Amino acid sequence: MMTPKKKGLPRFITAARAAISTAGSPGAASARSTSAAAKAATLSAGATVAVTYTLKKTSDVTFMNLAIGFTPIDLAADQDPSDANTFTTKGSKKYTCLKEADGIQITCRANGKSGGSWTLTVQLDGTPLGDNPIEEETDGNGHLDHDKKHS
Amino acid sequence: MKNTANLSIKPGASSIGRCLAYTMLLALFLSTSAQAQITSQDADGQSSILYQGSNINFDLGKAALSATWNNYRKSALDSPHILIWGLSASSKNKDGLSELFNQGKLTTLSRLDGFIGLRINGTKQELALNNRITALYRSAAIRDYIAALNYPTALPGWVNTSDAADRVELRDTLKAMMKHSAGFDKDLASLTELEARFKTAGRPAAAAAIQVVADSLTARQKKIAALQTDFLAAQHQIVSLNAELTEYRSNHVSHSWTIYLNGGWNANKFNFYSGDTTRPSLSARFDTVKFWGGFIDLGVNYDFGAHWTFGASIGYERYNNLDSFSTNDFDLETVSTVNNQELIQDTKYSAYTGHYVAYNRYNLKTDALYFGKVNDDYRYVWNVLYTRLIAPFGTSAIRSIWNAGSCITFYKSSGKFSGGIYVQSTDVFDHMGAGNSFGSRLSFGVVAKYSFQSIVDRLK
Repeated sequence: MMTPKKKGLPRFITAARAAISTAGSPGAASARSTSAAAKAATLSAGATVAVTYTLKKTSDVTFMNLAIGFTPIDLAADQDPSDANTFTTKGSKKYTCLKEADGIQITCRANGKSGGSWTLTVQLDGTPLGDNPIEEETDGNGHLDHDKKHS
Repeated sequence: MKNTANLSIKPGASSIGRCLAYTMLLALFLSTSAQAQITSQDADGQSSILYQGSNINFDLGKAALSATWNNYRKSALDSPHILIWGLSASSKNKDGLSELFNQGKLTTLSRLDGFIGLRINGTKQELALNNRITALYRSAAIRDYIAALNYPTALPGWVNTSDAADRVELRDTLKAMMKHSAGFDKDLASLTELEARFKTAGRPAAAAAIQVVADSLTARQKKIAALQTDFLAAQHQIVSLNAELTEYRSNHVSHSWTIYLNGGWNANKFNFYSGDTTRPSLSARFDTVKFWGGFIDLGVNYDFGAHWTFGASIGYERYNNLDSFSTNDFDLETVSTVNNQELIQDTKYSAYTGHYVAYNRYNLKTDALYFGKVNDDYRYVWNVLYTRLIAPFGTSAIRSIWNAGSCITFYKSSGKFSGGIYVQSTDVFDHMGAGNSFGSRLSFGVVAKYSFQSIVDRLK
């Protein structure tokens, strides 16, 4: 005799398990994403988060790009009207970003002069990131690059 | 009855040696010429009020009012080509506002400058890689997947219709799922458990509602599964392109070129004592001189790596030597004698004296800047060697002169200027004929304000 718990299971659990196995099956993934498919289990635990941020730089620094959780940040729109060196999400603006089980990917490319730096503070669903503030200084090549996961 | 006129020059108004005059001319040229964003002529602006994107600097000591409009903020973001432009207008009383209030001296100096430049960034490989990564971030594969990950934000109507304990429990469970998903498997398991409990308790309506939610989550999961292959491929591509870009950038230094054209007009109006003895009266020896000048510079900057910026510019300028003059106060006394009585009328003049010349000249400027870090609070910019050639033409009264030096300036890490020191030779090849040694033509001092003349300043 089936327990009440098991009685409720069949229809959607079967459907869901089928969905998950489709995502993870090697047949469904293309050859080039073999290693990526291996991450499927981890990625299925990924969720979206609403991101707000503040980015400050010294005046010699120029940004090539900033992406948080695989979402490109529109720095031109977020530049402070009275301070060209500060960028922030204005008003109720939020970016919908991907947070994976092992953290949120933050990638930044910037150029600057020796002594230059940038500082980034990020909030996920209004909660400050534990790694705040994230900082980079100009390296020997005139770059201030960052490509790491944070939580 | 007799009329006599005495013209006296008050102490403090002495003639200045030609060498000193030219040094002053250079010093003033250095202190007032283009700096921040090339156009801001008010090099001495002590306070800055920001208004609607324009900088208005007002310095009481220098009595300067200037406004700068530019799009320099755009250069905070890299793109293959950035067009930068600026416009600056300023007007000031050369003798300072306090002199205007105290003495009524008014020597107007007005300038209108503009510049336009093109900055060309980076290498083609680097930009191409960056563009490919940006395109992937914006691709449907990434955006649709992230959008599908969002849990539905609206609860099924049934759970909202009552505050009965079972509905509140379901409502809270669903809200917790929406707020932060623990993963599809766990969410589904908790829904299943809840449904089982409701069924056991004989609440089929509640169990059916849970079934609706579970179906919707399953549909969403199927959509995610359908998108996941493309997403994983795109994500994998982004990760490997980023690694490629990181590798490329670790082996190549950043560099950019800026080419600019900088031009402007300036005007001054001042009282001048001509000393012309052929004039019919002493008062007729005072002239009001109006001068219109202008300049145009073509410059190029090369930014290389973390440390170096090189700059050079060549330009033409219409100039005068007003800066080398000193002001003098004159008292013109007119004495009328009638029957042993004298009536003395005293007229005061304030005027410049000297050998006034308006002339044309070429300006050639070079700079080599080295950027460095002192500590976390301070950084420095060392203008390792700067040269200024000022070559007048069409006049023998002004000689060409080479000015060269080295200057180190310190900034707070935020970019605020905090001072510096310089050493320079105001006349490297002794064209002024001072006849003394090279060493004695060297000067050094403390810098209160400095501009890198042939360089589009990046620290302002």
